[in-house]
Amino acid sequence: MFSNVYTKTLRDLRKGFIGWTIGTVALVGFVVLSWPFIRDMDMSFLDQYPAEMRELFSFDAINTGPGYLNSQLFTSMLPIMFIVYGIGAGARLLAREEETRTMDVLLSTPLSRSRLMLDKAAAAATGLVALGVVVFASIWAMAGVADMGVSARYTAGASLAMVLLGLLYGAIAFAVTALTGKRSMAIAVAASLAVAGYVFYLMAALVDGLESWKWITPFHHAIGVGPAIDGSAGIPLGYSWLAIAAVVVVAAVRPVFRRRDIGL
Amino acid sequence: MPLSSRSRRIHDIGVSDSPAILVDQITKRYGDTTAVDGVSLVVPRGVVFGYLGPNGAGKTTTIRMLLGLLAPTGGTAQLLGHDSWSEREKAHRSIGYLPGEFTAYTELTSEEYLRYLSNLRGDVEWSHVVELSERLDLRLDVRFGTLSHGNQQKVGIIQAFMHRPELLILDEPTTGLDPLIQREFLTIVGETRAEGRTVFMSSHVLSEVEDSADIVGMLSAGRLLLEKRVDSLKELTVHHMTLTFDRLPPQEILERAAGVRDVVVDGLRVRLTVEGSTKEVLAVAAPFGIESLTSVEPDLEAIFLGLYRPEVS
Repeated sequence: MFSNVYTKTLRDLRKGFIGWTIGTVALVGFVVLSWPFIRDMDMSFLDQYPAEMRELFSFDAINTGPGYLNSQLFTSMLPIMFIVYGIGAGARLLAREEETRTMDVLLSTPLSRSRLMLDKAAAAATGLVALGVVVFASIWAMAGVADMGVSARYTAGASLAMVLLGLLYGAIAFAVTALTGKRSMAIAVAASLAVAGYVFYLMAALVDGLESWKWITPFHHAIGVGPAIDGSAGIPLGYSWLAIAAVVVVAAVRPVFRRRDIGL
Repeated sequence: MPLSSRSRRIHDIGVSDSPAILVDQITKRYGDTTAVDGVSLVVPRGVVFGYLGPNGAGKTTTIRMLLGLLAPTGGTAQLLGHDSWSEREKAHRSIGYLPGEFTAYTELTSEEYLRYLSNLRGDVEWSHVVELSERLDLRLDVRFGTLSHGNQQKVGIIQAFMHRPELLILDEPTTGLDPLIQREFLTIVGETRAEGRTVFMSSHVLSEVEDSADIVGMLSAGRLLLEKRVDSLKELTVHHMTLTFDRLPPQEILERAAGVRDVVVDGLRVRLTVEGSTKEVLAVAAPFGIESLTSVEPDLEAIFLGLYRPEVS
């Protein structure tokens, strides 16, 4: 059955995951199946937008398969979905055990607090990766049918970018619960940082003075320089920064979680 | 009795060199509030220790510090020779714990939950879980969320006992149990002691632990008032009595009777306090024609406070 906290937590995530899978596949299906109509449309009205906007949302390439997926999925709906999923799981997995007091008995076994954190974080990351696999598989399969001309490499790279965005903001939410035990505070902090990061990403593209600071926002690394924009590129180095940041955020709060009072 | 001789006596009960629980001046403060204030106690191996006190006295806070869930503001505690904070994982291998407000995952059945904890512990014979569930009359195939409060508490008791731990720390274990199951639980506690294992259980009701505990510690407002063997405690129970005589009360005779103090005569009525047995005072008073008699056995806290007062004076 459940041999450890990791497998038990995966089971906790299972029911919600089914809903997320259905929602994701439906979204991808709707976007991809609209492609044949979009492809042949006259998109010249998009030229009225400023050049920066056209670049941000891949408007110039909207008549190509990758450009279309970028504008409709990878720079819009999917980042939101992955960040919401990541924050939701990150804020819930540890805090729920503490808020409902099931953690007391868990920690009365020889299980260490570090191991509890690690298993919970690993389960949340597994959920995000699984959701990434769903996105990859559904786009790859449906784009093939719709003859969109997107490569497996592009799809994998763009899906990975979504996973990493969710991972980082999920890690922030998780870290807040490790520090405070409070789910609501974790959601508030992580969601505020996500909105701030996205706003800064847009500002940096539109305001010249901020251009040199664009590296500071995770969105730049995930959707600003990745294959989601340039369909021909491989998996960019910027991705590893997102993964490292997520690991660092969780590792940094581990000593505090080991020392603080449980169940405040 | 001075404190030092009392703690020596407690030591003497020990059956093993390192006590099951050794608490030294443990303190927990939250800002200006002191929840536990310099509590020290020794629980020898192989005894049942009743940790008593009214609600809010600091029992649960002490227990959560013993389990390493709360960091002490001051002082230390050792469980089976391991520091309860810095070596908590080591200590937890040989400990069973029932929290004060026990709860499990509502969506799991009791069996799924107990198997999960068994896997985390790794040293559980499933046949023992089945035996405990039969003795406590609990079906294991029902989801925790649908169980009554009493049945949920049984799941908590089973998870604390199932790996036959060396030391059990139980916070108000009988909460919600019906009397029959309560008796069965106390039998299990007795068997655990007979095997040389140790049980530390808290309660706010003396009667609940006086039959099963060897030693009781009484906590009030975060301070440990005393630690005593139960048999010596019963001798020291304090009664406040009011006797009404049909003639002039024999004040001097009453004052000389064993255990009597604070005799106040008010016409035909006498108020007095008896420590221990009331047998002698009743015997000497009877020939003088007792018209009526009321005797109040004070509640738990008052008993301990009554005992405590002579020691500080």
